[in-house]
Order: sequence, then structure tokens, then C-alpha cells
Amino acid sequence: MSNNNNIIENDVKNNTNQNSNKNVIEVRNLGKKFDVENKGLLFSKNINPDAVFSDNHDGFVLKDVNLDIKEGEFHIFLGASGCGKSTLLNIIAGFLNPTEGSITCEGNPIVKPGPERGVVFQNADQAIFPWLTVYKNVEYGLKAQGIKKAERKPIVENALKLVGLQDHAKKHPSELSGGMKQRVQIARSIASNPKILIMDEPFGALDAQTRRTLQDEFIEIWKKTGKTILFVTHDLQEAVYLGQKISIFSASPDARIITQVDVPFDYPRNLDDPVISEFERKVHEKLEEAINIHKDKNIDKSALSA
Amino acid sequence: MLSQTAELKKESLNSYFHNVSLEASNEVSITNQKKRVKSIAKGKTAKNAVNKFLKTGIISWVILFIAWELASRAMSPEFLPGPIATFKGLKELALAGTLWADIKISMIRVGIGWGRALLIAIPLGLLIGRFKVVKSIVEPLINFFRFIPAIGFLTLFLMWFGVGEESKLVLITYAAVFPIIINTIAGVASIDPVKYQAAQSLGANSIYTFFTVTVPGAIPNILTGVRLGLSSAIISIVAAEMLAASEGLGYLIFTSRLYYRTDWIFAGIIVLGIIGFLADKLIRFLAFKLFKFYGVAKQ
Ligand SMILES: Nc1ncnc2c1ncn2[C@@H]1O[C@H](COP(=O)(O)OP(=O)(O)OP(=O)(O)O)[C@@H](O)[C@H]1O
Ligand SMILES: [Mg+2]
Repeated sequence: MSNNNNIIENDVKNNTNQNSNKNVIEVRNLGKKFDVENKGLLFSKNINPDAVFSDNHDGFVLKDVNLDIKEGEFHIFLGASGCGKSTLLNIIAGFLNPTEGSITCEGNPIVKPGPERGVVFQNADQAIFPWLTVYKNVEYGLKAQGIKKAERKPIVENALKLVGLQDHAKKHPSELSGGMKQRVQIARSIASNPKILIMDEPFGALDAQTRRTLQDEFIEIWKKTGKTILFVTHDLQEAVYLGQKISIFSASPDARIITQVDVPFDYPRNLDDPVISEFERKVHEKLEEAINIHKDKNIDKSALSA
Repeated sequence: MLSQTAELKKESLNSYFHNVSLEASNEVSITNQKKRVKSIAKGKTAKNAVNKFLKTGIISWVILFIAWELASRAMSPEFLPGPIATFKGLKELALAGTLWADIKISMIRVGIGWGRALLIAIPLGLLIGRFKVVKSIVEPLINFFRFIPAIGFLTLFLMWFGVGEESKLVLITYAAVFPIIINTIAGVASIDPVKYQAAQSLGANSIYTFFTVTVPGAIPNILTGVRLGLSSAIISIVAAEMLAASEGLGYLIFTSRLYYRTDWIFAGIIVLGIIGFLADKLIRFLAFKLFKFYGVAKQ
């Protein structure tokens, strides 16, 4: 794996945010397979999935995943569709549990969702509360955590200002555009002051123009807040435009993070810059390699059995 | 040289872009446009008026009344009183003063019985929908009892709760409770799991999530249940006032047969129908006013 790390051995000094060497997220030898759902059976969560499931192949979506996410880093997950990016992200968010291996946030094992790991979902319509105003949506996490009203107000106002929605505080989500709804989600997560902001293709459902605007705005938000970002995308350009570090996944089953790329360019980046296009092409090569490793493995197997 | 061709290219490219001016190019086209707009508007308002008229449902009522009157004349008016006879009967009851007393007592019974049903069914439905343990214990019972009509319990309720008000209220509540519970459960099931994930990630515990995601998220379906529950309550008033009652619309409908006053029966039925219709309109109006942003549809 280490031989893949040297695409560009850069110094991260160029980057706007000074990353400390502290790891916010540490993933060690993590594996995940989805077991049979035990719906309808009460208190039956602890059935050993191996006992229920005895397939020929082991059925791991993710296998031997190792990952460090540094404090303040803009970290990208890049990989083919279905490789398990969302699965790993959901494990980090605490929505899913790993089958094997360990995962920690600032040294504490992750077992369930928590406000120190803010999540921005792809579909804002699903994620925000249509019955609450923009203000109350952003206030939700603070209220849930029992923060007093007087303390909530400046936090909410700041978060709204950060995403440029201060003039829309009294509106309801149905009165907002798609891009504005996504801004509400970002503000709502940031208001809870999370250690890391986890985003699964947050701009994937937006039109190209709005996506570009939000990407630029989000870089500014990241710079201002200095948050650690984990951002999933399968858009190579988006990855190169936004990320400081790109983790590339191999294909599932048994997917893992197979290559990591440091992106050495300052923000804002100009994708038409020949140096950056060349870099993008190289990342693309690595991505293709990562996807094909698995295919080669399969071919080898079938060749052996033939 | 080079820069010149660049300049040329630029110019020729520019010819592909046209500014759209705010004013139309000449007067003639403006007046023409105005005329067209006007005639379209005229056609539209006429169409709107027709649509509005159709929406009132007056046509269906006129057809019903005509058919009803014709049918009544074809048969004997005692067997099937027509709308005119019914209206006369209604007038008679209203003038005698008993109609208002009957409406009042029946509405109080429906109101209390239905209100109790709301208090029982909405929290229960929410708990069943959200918590598996509650669901596994309560739902089988509900799925059994909801198929037994209220009238089946009539005698038992009289025995258990006496001949006074209580047995009638219990009967109405029983009838109204099931549609509310079932729709509330459906409402909870309709909530997107992403909303729960979002709430948890923002630090909400399960009690907070219940009140801030489950309850508001289920409101559109709860309101459907509330409306269906009201119609069940109104329907069951006849059964509730069938035995051991001395007033009420159900009593009126049920006892008028003793005097062969079929016109009074019809009068009672129509009053019940109108009350239900108006109450439902009122609920829908209030629901839209109060819960517009919860996803409650306007009419
Ligand atoms: N709940 C589940 N039960 C069973 N299998 C699942 C479940 N969720 C995901 N999978 C499987 O795990 C694999 C990885 O899915 P995942 O959603 O993580 O992919 P992804 O990388 O996010 O893809 P995309 O880019 O399309 O979003 C897929 O093969 C998928 O079929
Ligand atoms: Mg995904």
C-alpha cells in the first residue's frame, strides 16, 4: 500500500488550514458485512450472523480498512459506486456498527451517533425538518443538548450568517431552493460545533451551477471554522477541487482504502490550470487502478480454477 | 495579425448573443399582444368560474334531489318521503323546538366520545408506531377488535356502564378509536429514517426525538385519522341512542319509525349528514391553518 502513497509527496504547509498531527478519526482493520435483518424478533440482535449465514464467500463489503483523519483536514472518500463509501461513513457517523476491527473518535470508540460527529446528508429534503423554520432547524441540536436559550441565539445567528441565510431565518424549508436547504443542513450541523463534519455527496443532488457555488462557499466555511471534514463523492473533479487528502477505495466486496493522495494546491483552485488538470488525470489513473485491482484478482482466481 | 483574428472571432461570437430588451419592438405588436392577453384572460376567468361552480358540488346535489323527488313520487311518500316532504318534517321539528335539543345533546355526545378517542388513540398510535415493544403487545389486540362493530357491544356496554350517558360515550369512543390509531401508526411509519439519524447526530435522545420527530412527522396522517374518527363517531350516534335514550338525533331517527314518520327519519339523517360535512370542513380548514408546514394538504 505504501508504494501508492507517493503520487505527490508534498508538504501540506501550502494549505490554508494548518493541520495538527492529531487524529480525529482512527480506523483499524475494520471490516463490515451486512447480516440478515432480524426484524420482528424482539431482543434478537445478538444472534451471531455467521451462524445464520454460511455462504461460500465471506460477504464482507469492507475488509481491512485502515484510516486516519487528521484534525482540520479536508478529507475526501473517492471510489466507484457501491464500493462502500457510504457504509464506512455511516459507521463513522455511528449509524452502523463494524463487524470487526476498531474505530475511534478522539480516542473514544464509536458506538452510536453523537453531536461531535455532525452529518450532512445528501438529500436535504429528507434530512431537515419541514415543520420548523430555518432558524429553528439550525437551533435543533443546541436545544436537544439542553443549551440555554440566551446561549443558543448568538450561535444560531452566527451559523446562519456563515451560510448566508441570515435574511431567511423565519422561512420554512418549503420556501427555499435546493441549495438553500443544503445550506440549512450545513448550518444546523455546524451550530452543534462538531469535531468532524461528515458529508455523503452533499452536493450530488444539486444542479451543476448551484453545486459549484456551494463548493466555493463551503471552502470558505471550512477555512473560517477550521473544522475537520469528511466528504464522500464519486466526482473526481469535486474531489480535486475540494480535498486536501483523497482516500481512494478499491471495489467491493472486500473493499478497502487502497491509495491516499495529498492534494498540494492552494484554494481557490482553478481546474483549468494545466498543472491541476494533469494532477486530476493522475488521480483518475489511480482510481482506475483501484477499481481494477479487484477485477484482476477475480481473473487470477478463475484462471487458477480452470 | 493574430490579435486581429482574435478580435474578429470575438465579434462573430458576439453575434450569437442577443440582449432581450424590456420593451417590445413596436407599438402594433404591443396592442396586439394586449388584445390577446385580454382575450386569454377572459377565457380564463370564464373557465375559472365554471371550475369554481363545479367544485361546489351543487350539480350532484341538484341531481340527487330531482332523482329523490321523482323516486318518492313513483312510490308512496310514506315509504320514501321526497325532499319536499323531508323539508316540511324538518321545519315541523325545528318549530317544535325538539330538533335543536336533539342536535345539541347528540353533538355533545359525539364531541366527548370523539375527544376521548383522540386522547386515547393518538398517544397509543404514536407509541405503537415508535416502540417495537408496545407494538408487539398492543397491535394484535387492535387488529382483532377493530373488526368488531360498535353495535355488537351495545347490550354489553349498557350492562357494564349503565343506561346513562357513560355507555353511549363508551360506544362512540370505541367506534372512533380504531381509525385514529391505525392512521397514527401509518403516520409514524411514513417518517423518513434519515430524520431520526439527523436528530441523533445532533445529540437528541430518544425521548426528545419522539416529541420532535415522531409527533410532528406523523401529523398529516393523524389528521386523516382524526377526520375518519369523527365520521365513525357521528355514524355510531344512532346506535348509541338506540336504547335507553330520550333525546338526540339518533333517538329521533330510531323512534320516528314508531309513529310512521319516515319524513322525520330522513330529516334526522340529513341533519347528521350536514353536521358531519360542516365539522369535517372546519377540521380541514383549521388543520391547514395550523399545520401547513407539516405537510397537510389544502383541501
Ligand atoms: N443495508 C444494507 N444491507 C445489505 N447490503 C448493503 C446495505 N447497504 C449497503 N449494502 C451493500 O454494500 C455495498 C456498499 O454500499 P455503499 O452504499 O456503501 O456504496 P457507496 O460506495 O456509497 O456507493 P455510491 O457511490 O453509489 O453511493 C453495496 O454493494 C451495497 O449493496
Ligand atoms: Mg453512497
